[in-house]
Amino acid sequence: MPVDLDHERISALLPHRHPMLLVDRVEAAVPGESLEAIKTISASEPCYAGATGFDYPAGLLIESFGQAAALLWLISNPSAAGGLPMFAAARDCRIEARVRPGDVVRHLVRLEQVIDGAAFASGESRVGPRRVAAFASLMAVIKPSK
Amino acid sequence: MSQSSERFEQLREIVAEVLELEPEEVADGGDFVEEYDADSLRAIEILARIEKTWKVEIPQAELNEMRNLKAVYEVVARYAGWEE
Amino acid sequence: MRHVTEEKKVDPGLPYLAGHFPEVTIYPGVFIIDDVERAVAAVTGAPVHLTHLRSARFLRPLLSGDGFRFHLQITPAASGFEVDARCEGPDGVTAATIKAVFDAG
Repeated sequence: MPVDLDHERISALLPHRHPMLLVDRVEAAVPGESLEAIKTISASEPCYAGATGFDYPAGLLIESFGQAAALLWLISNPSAAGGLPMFAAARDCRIEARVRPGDVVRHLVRLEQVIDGAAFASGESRVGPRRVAAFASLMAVIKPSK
Repeated sequence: MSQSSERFEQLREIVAEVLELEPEEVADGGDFVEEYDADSLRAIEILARIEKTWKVEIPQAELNEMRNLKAVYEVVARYAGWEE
Repeated sequence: MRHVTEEKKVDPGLPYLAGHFPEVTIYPGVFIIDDVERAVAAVTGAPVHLTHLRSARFLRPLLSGDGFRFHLQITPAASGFEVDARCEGPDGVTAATIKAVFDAG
């Protein structure tokens, strides 16, 4: 099934908002299996305000991948929508190259398992043909909305 | 090493990794919650890793029983069809 | 090996908090990873960058204005530092644990 989500549809799925919404577009997805999402790094993001470095913070790159994984989970399991997806744990993630403004990061996410309200995802991030990060396992849980 | 004790040691490694302990720190009957301070998410993580490693599906209801390494082994053996 | 303790606070003026989330403000767990990176750089006196996140566990959310305390164990490694960090929330309960490798540079 072809899936293409623009920023408006992403906003409808994720509770994150500017400047913390770190996925720009979903270009392909197979619910329950995999998803490809784009995040363009911009020099106008708050992390560069007054900063002395030019590398995109690793935490934000991991968060961006995590949001792509949350989107995959939410389109795979619409009943989870409406709650707050919370990052619970990550294991064995490698940052292999540094990312900077102007880079277009492509996250390739696989949904590994969903058990008892917890989702496990893995995958990698690329800039062009180059792998910049590899994620062995990310775990998220949904905190139901009150 | 017999196949069952090999699997038991493999399980011990998985449990140790999730609980962030050394394998020798995980006793056969050590209670995950009381002795190693595990929360329910760690139990889910152990279950997830087992399902992936042995391509077996274990119902979530079994989570309550998986309180120590020996109990985990018994549950997995039942669903994976391991013979004693 | 060095043990360091550092006090921090979730700065309510942090621009990212407005979007995380509009209805309830939660300090993004991943920010703790970047906080650890900054703390390691400050302690070792030179820039470092995360290369291998061995494990991160976010156990309890930190809210806007919450004070928190880092306990860092920094061990020199081949290309940088092995770091074992525990973050305690305002009630003294562990809010997050991070085990990671930071390379120099």
